[in-house]
Amino acid sequence: MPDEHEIKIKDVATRLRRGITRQLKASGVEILEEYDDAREFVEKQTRKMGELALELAKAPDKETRDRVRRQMDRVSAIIETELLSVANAAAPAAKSALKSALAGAGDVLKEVLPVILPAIL
Amino acid sequence: MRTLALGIVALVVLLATSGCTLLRSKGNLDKASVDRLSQNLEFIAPAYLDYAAAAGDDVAPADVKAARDVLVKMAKDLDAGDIADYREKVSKIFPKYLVYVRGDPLLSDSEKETEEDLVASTKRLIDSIEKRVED
Repeated sequence: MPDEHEIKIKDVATRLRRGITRQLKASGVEILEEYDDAREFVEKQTRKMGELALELAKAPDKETRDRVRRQMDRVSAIIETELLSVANAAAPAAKSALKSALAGAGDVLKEVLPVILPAIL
Repeated sequence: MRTLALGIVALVVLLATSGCTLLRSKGNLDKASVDRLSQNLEFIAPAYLDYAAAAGDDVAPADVKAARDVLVKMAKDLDAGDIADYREKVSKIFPKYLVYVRGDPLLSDSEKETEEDLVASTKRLIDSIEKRVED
């Protein structure tokens, strides 16, 4: 039975997914599906990002917020690093598909998080 | 469950896209990969050098800034012919950096795990760049 915190983390991921799904190409997802280790690794990082987003929202002071943001920057870097490794290893056609999937997604996260966090906290 | 997994992957893709443009090249190297590598080293190298200086290990204080500049510049200016040498240099840094991180009483377990993941993913990126050069 998941606890309340677990449910909120899943809720963050689900709401974010709904907000961005239209901007993604299925081909980009398929590429990651071919790389199980990378997929599991980035899923772990995404989950951590959800946890950090909740920590950031609850942070009692600036020092705590700064620490959480610092860690979020690193987790974001880790995700991008892993995806680039996958792109480097992928066949040329897959690279083009991944490029297409990434194009135009922009910084939707930054727009979505401030809207959804107050709604679920 | 698969929908959730795909959603998580989709989120991951989104998170990774802040200004990320794949397949631009620098010499034989993918520019986005080199830029990412440089930024990761900007996280790791200064912290490594601070740890080393604080511990009184090998790196003299006067050399700290120079070493930091070299580490970061190497990634920024990296070219295809440099990648093996670069990998050798950073592969010496990473294990010691992780020793420092694990022994840092000010870092939470979550922060330590993040640093370990950052190092692991950076190593994989270097490997993928090197493999691409070889191919």
